[in-house]
Amino acid sequence: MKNKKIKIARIEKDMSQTDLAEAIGVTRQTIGLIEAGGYNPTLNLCIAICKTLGRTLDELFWIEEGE
Amino acid sequence: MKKQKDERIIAEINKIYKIGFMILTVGILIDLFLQFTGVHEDGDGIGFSFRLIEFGTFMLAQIVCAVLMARKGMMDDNKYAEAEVFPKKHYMGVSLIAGAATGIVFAIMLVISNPFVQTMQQKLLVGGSVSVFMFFLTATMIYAVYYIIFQVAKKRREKMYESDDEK
Repeated sequence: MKNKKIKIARIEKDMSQTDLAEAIGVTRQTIGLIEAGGYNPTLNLCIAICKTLGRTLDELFWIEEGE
Repeated sequence: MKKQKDERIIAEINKIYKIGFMILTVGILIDLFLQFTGVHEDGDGIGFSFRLIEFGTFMLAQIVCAVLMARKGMMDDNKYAEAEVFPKKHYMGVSLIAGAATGIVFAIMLVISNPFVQTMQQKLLVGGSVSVFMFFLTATMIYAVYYIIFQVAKKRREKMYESDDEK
C-alpha cells in the first residue's frame, strides 16, 4: 500500500527523497520503496522518518479503516 | 560514530545469504552422507567424485547469491550499494584486487603443476607472464561485469520508481 502521507510531509518540508534518505542514513531507494509501499520499515526507521519530517508516528503511519 | 547501514539492504542481502547458506548446507550434507555411507572416491569403481560435489556446491552457492544480488544491483551492503552514479574508484579497486589475486593464484598453480617448468628462470618467466595476463583479463572482465550489472540494476530501479518521481 502506498504511503502518500510521507510523500506529502516530505514535500511540505521541501525535501527530496535524497535529502530525506541522507538525513536518516538510508539509500534513496529505501525512501522510494517506503512511499511506494514496497517496503515495510522497522519501528526505528519509522521514528527516524517522523523526527526528520517533524511528524508523529500516527500522522505518517497510522492507517484508518477504508483508507 | 559508526555509520548507520540501510536496514532494507541488510534485510534483502540477508535473505540472499540465507539461500546461499542452505545450498552450501545441503551440498555439504549430501557430500558427508555419501562419504560416511561408504561410497569411496577411488576404491569401489563407482567413479564417484566427491570433489565434484564439493566444487559444484561451492560454485552453485556463489553463482546463485551473485545473480540474486546483482539483479538488485547490490554487491554488498556498504555505502556503494544502490549508488546513483557508478562508483568508478570503488569498483576499480575491487577489480584490481580480484585481478591481482587471480593472477597470483593462477601463476602459482601453473608453476607447481606444470612438469615442463623446472628452472627458477622458467618459473619466473611463466609465472610472471601468466600472472600479468590473468591480472589484466580478470580485472577488465570484473570491472565490465560490475558496470553492466550496475546499469541494468539502475534501469530496473528507475522503472520501479517511475510512478513515484522525486517531488
